[in-house]
Amino acid sequence: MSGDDPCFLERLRAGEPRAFEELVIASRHRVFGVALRMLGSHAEAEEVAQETFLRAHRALGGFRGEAKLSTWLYGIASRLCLNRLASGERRLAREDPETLERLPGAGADPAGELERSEREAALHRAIAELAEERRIVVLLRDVEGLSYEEIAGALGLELGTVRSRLHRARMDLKEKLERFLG
Amino acid sequence: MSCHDARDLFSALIDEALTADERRALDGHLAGCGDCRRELERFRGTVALVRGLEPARAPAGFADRVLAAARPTPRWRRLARALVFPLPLKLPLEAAAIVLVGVIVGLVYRQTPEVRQAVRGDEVTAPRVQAEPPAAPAPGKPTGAPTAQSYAAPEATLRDKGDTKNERAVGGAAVESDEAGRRVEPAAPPAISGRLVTDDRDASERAILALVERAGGARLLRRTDPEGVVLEVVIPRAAWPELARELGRLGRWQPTREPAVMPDPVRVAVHIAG
Repeated sequence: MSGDDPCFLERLRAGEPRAFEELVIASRHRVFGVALRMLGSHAEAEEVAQETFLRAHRALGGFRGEAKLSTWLYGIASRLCLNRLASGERRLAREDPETLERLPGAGADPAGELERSEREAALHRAIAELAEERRIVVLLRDVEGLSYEEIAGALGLELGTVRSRLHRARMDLKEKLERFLG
Repeated sequence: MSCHDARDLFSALIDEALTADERRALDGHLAGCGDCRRELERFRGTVALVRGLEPARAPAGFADRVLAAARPTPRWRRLARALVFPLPLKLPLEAAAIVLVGVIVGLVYRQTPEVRQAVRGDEVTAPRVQAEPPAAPAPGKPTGAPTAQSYAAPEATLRDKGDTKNERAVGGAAVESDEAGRRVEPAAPPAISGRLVTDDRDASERAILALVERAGGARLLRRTDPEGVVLEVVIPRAAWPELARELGRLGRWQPTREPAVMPDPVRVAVHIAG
């Protein structure tokens, strides 16, 4: 994202529509991806991702730039997901994790393709089964590439909490994926 | 350092977040513990799997939907929304509006024959012409076949009253005017009616009227409806075969009424549709 560019931030704060459009286009896949993997439903993920950008749009005038713009967006999206998961008012059932990410197969090696497909399905299932507060941390770290400090800032957590949740999430995943780890 | 303590540092090791002391202690343990080295490899493999996840992609049109939703609402729309809110007021109003529209449509349908006719679309009707009580014929002037004036609509009939000397050619024969005009009367249907489906409605209408005029007839009524034009004319009975041929030439003529025995003159209603 280009959120660290002061000129870009200034245009966003000034409410320039073109700047907001650039922000949406640059960050839509990542925000949607976090929501999808947290909620397990494309429809709910789109709702949350859209709400994330609308909230950002309303609050951009007061964004001081203490955190990176991308981290700020991840924070909004994460809180919306966690609130939705905690509310117990979810209208849509979680989709089968295996349907979330079906990648086109290479086709050259059917046995290898089958194994890869099984491994991916197991990985999605394992992530979906993680406790929510661990799942968001491991997604922000290992899928989105945020630093510990950025995760702590986005989620409002202590650094030590981020570290321990991340470690527990990875350990949980390792146990579930044991048979694919040689 | 125990195996348990060493494994607690695996995450930080992978993320290079260990302090120098932690790193030294962990390296020392791993150097002498095969189980923890194997465990670390599996741990690295797990993290690699997660980091290798294919990035998700927002659905097509997502950005457009966000931008549309973020656009400021026009002031008039905010005002309108404020007027009809809250919902307990808005919903009954909307329901009442729907009912009202339905009632109005029903009333219009019942009160307007043209609408009913257009909906049925099965028969063309028009204001009717019937013989007016004959006025006293001018001395020495026989009553004969009707003329164009005698076929005209009421206004024309009234206007032309007294013009008893007009002569027109009907079917090639000279016909004397008959002062006994005709007047419109809505009860009697035209003797002949039907529907003409044609490619060029205007040209067909012009051709019909030209033929009617040549035959000494007259146009009684013209009105438009959603499908086209309804034309009612009156012509001498003898001119009907020629008009029928002309209708067949202009398009697909679908008669809905054509009696075996026709009056003279005969009224013909043509619904020209394209």
